[in-house]
Amino acid sequence: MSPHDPHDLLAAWAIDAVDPDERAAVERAMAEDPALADEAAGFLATAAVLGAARSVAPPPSLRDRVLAEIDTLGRGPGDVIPPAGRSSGSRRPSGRTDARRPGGRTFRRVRTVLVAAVLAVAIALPSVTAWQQHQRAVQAEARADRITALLASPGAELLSGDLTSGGTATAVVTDDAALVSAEGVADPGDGKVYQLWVMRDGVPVPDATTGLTGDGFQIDTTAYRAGDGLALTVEPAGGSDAPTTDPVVVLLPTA
Amino acid sequence: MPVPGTHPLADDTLDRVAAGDQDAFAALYDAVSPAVHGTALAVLRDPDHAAEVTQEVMVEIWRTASRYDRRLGSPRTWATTMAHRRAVDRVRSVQAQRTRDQAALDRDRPVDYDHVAEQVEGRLEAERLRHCMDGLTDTQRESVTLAYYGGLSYREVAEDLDAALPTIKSRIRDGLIRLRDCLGVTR
Repeated sequence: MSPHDPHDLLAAWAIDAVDPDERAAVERAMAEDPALADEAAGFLATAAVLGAARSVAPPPSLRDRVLAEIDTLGRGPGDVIPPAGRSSGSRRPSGRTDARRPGGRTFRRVRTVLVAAVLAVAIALPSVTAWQQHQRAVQAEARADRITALLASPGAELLSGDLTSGGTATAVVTDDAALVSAEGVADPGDGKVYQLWVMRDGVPVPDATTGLTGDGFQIDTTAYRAGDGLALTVEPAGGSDAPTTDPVVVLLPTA
Repeated sequence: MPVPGTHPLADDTLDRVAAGDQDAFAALYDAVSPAVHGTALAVLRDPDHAAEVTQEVMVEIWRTASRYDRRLGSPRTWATTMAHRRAVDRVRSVQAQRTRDQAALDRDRPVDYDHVAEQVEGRLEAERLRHCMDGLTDTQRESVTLAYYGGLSYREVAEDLDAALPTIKSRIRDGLIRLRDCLGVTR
């Protein structure tokens, strides 16, 4: 029996009875093996009963302190992935989003922000969730790679904004194409998808639809032309010919 | 996975917390903070340390609520898991020697499940747990208890009981499997 056999250590891991290197080994194994992660979740739920059986109300003053602290924090950096550009405040439906010409700094920043934000959350969370976060980080990294590649195109411009429903959208637009990526977004719901619209002369032209990969997605379109805007809505599966809901984000290029 | 006897919590509570709803967070706090605090107190045995861990965990839940995935466990499991890990990390970093001393005491004293839980939900849970703990062998119960409540690693448990490492790993694993099945925890 190997001292680091993850399956062998899973129960001990669930009650935090392993050393740090063993913890890391188990969590790496879980990232690659959903069955192991599933078994781990059962052990965690069992362990939680051991703790809950000792339930003791914390001091009443603690409740006030915690509520005051979260009030001060607001929606903190661990919760929503920060936009890639300067803060854009695009919760206004038609709010113009911040956009910058791509430069080396911007590139690195997009990639760093997207990947680091996902990883930071993964580290902060207990480990079953960390497994899923790891998968999300891998997917986010793949999306970031494509953004980086397209930003190298001549005339590429980077747009970003927050979705009203949570998460961040980033678009790289060129003269004749756009790559729209989203991270940290909510599941659109059963039978629903995200749909991209190319906004041309104020008219939304339907484009591709997508579900989620991890907690993000990426859509390519060659229907985009310089000067067009982009919007995302939630639509019934299969997509719509005209938007049936308000956009969750609108991205407009600089004039 | 809902566990009978736990504080009811609306299905969308975490979604609302993730959206920044402080009232929903207050409801979540009321539902899970006794389990969080009780877990921390069981491991740390110090009310001030336990309160600090409880505060850290509840704020962390606020910060990361959008990442919560119900398929991976109930909000209470999520919160309790965080509390235990933080409490154990604290024990190992700050109080290693005290814990070893305490573990030696624990070994000679039967764990008292009757008087530990102050909350109604905790009492119900303690009742179920005691019943299920009775289904473990003495050695399984001893290893699980030393590890979970004593904050000891399986290596430390083995050292403490003068037993082989694989033996202790098996006891913890077999013990948790029996508990899981007895408690009806399903995945």
